[in-house]
Amino acid sequence: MSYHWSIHQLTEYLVSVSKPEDPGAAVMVALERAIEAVDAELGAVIIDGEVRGSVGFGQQGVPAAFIAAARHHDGVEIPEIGTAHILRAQLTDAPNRTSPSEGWLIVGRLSEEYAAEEDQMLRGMAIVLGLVLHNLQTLQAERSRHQLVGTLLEIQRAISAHRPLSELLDAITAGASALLGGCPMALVLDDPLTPGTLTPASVRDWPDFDQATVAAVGQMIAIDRTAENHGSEEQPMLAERVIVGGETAGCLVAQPDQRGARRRGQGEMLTAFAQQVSLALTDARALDALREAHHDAITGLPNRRLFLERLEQTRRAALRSGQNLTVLFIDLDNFKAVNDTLGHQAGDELLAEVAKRITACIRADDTAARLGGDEFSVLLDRAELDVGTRLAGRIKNSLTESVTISGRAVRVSASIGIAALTPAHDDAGALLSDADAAMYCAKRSGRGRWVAFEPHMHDEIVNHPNPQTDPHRPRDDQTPTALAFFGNDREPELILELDDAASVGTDLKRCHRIDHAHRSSRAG
Amino acid sequence: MAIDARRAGAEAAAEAQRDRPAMLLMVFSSIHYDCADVLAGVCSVTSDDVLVVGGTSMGEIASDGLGLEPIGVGSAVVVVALGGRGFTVSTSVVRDASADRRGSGAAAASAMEQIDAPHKALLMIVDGLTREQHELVRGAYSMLGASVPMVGGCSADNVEYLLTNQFHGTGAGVERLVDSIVAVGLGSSAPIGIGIAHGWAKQGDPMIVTSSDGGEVFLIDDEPALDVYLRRIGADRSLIDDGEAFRTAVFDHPLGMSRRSGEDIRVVHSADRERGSLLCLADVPQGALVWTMTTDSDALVAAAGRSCEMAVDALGGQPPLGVVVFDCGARKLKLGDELSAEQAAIATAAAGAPFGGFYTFGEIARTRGSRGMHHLTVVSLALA
Repeated sequence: MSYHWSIHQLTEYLVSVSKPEDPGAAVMVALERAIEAVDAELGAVIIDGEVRGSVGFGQQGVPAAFIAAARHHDGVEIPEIGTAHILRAQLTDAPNRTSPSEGWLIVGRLSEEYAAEEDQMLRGMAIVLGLVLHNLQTLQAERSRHQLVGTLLEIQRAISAHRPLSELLDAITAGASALLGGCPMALVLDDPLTPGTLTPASVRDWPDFDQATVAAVGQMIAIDRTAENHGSEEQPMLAERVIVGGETAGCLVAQPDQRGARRRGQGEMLTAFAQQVSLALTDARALDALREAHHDAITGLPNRRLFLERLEQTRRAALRSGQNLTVLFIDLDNFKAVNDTLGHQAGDELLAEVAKRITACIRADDTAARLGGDEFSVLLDRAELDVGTRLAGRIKNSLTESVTISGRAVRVSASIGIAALTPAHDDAGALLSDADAAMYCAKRSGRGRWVAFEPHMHDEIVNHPNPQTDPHRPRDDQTPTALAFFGNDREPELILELDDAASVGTDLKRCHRIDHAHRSSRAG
Repeated sequence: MAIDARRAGAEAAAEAQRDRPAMLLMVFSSIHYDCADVLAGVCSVTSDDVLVVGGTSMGEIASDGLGLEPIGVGSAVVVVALGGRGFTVSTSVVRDASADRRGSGAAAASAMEQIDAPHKALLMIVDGLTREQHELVRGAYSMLGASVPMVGGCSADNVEYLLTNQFHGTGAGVERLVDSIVAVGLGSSAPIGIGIAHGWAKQGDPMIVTSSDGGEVFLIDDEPALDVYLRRIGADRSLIDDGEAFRTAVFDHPLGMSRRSGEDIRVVHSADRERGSLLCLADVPQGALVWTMTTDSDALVAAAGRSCEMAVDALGGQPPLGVVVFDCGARKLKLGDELSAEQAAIATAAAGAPFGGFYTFGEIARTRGSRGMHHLTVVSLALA
């Protein structure tokens, strides 16, 4: 998980902005924090056409050109200062709402234009300022602030604790629901597989939230950025768009139970919260490029690099805290034969399916990775060796079921090595090496086995350094001597016999297609 | 051998002004000297119309102009003289700064009122024991705006944290102040260069400040901040019973807050055992994402050179007349025996120009954005 600076600024900002007891001080604090956050030099808050606060202009006041600058203006010339790139965000997002604090938060930076994350963050800051100003007027400042800060901190911790995105989104809807008094809450997002349609990403305490509701929400936000009072008179809805990378990515929807001014307050709270969702998703989307660099394209699992990074982090934490840590090293027993005989695409399909089966066997907090070739690994945090052996058994069992490759059923097995962390492991590579050594011993002792590491195993590998000369090491390109492909009726349909002395680029010795009517005969 | 503070002040000031009429002297003095005697010595060789500013330090920085031999041993007086055609200077002093930090900073900016030059900067020397110094800088920025860069440092008293002094006056007499801001408005016909660098890097996993008030951090990740921090640096509470060991540890592992343009660094200067809190000289906002930071001698030395290079580069190709350096005292402690390497790096970057300055309790520099308060940083001011 990246730690994009922008996602964490909003909570700091909220804490600072909500401390002052008068609106003027809140405006100045908001301005200073906003321009500091984006390394801007200039800022102004305009409310009801008046400059309510400004920073960075010295004695000259705020030029009219700065106030009038359109969003993302290329540059506004500020006398004695220079050309400023402008970014502005509205304090209240709903023009059709009646709010005591409608205005603009405008910043100007001399050095460079703004990224999408900064736009999103400033939007959030403007909304929060509007919320704070409203709360100051309604004398509900302390309670609302305390609630919102506490909820935002929870979400921030979820982000920085590497929680999966789905858990993070659930934390957001839970937090939003709590902020609005426990009302039903849902987050719908653009379906990545079917762009233009919305799909529920997280639903909280809304049993009748269905596809019809999603469609209604979609229509609602297509008309207006934010909307309320949709739905029936009995069940109105509040909705706030979620923006990622400058584009609408979905919507945070609530079914409030308040009326009038209290609903307006809930609406503003929802709006502020939607900014945090937007930042979180922006942060997650920003990881796409990072994901490509750290994940295996075929299986979608973390690659060796990411796995070793995580293993190292977990190793250090485990040693500090005295927790257990176990690693599995998984090597498919006959992958090369599949790859060579059925082609690389079939090999990729097999790897993807094996990855799914391994992932289905592990716990939510465990990490499975493809190290390369036909090698996989699993990191079991807070797990003793016996947890690893039980997992090895489950993986073995899951692979006994045939895998359908290019329409054919293929059976594979895996040799698995298991190693538990000790203080002697001074880096991640050492632990993985032990698991690898155990896997090697498992493979030597036959197919589809698992072995726990013992120190003598490295010696055995040292004594037989070249697997090609180790008469006891089974070679994936040497055996098995046959691969059986099973038809739908689970009877062998095609048998590939492989030359025992085959090398890379295995030659087919014989290939038989079995005539089910004459199953007992094998033509030469 | 008894320290002759008056003589030290007189000799340093005389050397700085040798054959060159000055309009401003910056005096940085070790806390081991009696500052009253130092300043009397300075005044004894300085014309009444020369402005004098400065403060006590955690060590001094200077080139001798001949062999460029560095000092920085913490028992010296350094005097930097500024004068000559093309320069204008004006000073202001604000007392009782901690009573209204923001207002004091704004008032200090009045030093610029008399400066009318194509290139300007506000130099401030602030009491290093005034907490929340960033508010002083924000106050100054509120008056100056984006057109005037800021530079400076916080006076220090080695690592005693008892009393630091700031100096303000003229050759006719110089006051020793506490809890004050001494500001110098600088104007020049040539560009003024300011450089900033630190050399620290993030270490380990991030943490979230879940409760804090100003510079006091109560909770990190919902646990007592002191315990989280000690665990992160591989220590336990027994560390805070040993003052020197604690100081070494906190200077080895400052906190860095996630920011757009890199981490904003904070020194932990003490801990409250009963409250389980950490105390920093500057604010650590609730909600901040923080890391422990780490560095090594090479990185620290390189940063010093880089800071000076940035300042010299900003002169637009003009050769520097001199460089003033404000370097965090924690870096000095961290460098230890390799202090000479840092000062050699500065000398190289200054391209033979004389340099002087002091080791501080905080550094001030604003050239872009609006933030201007730094820690564990080297700030350089180059004049042409």
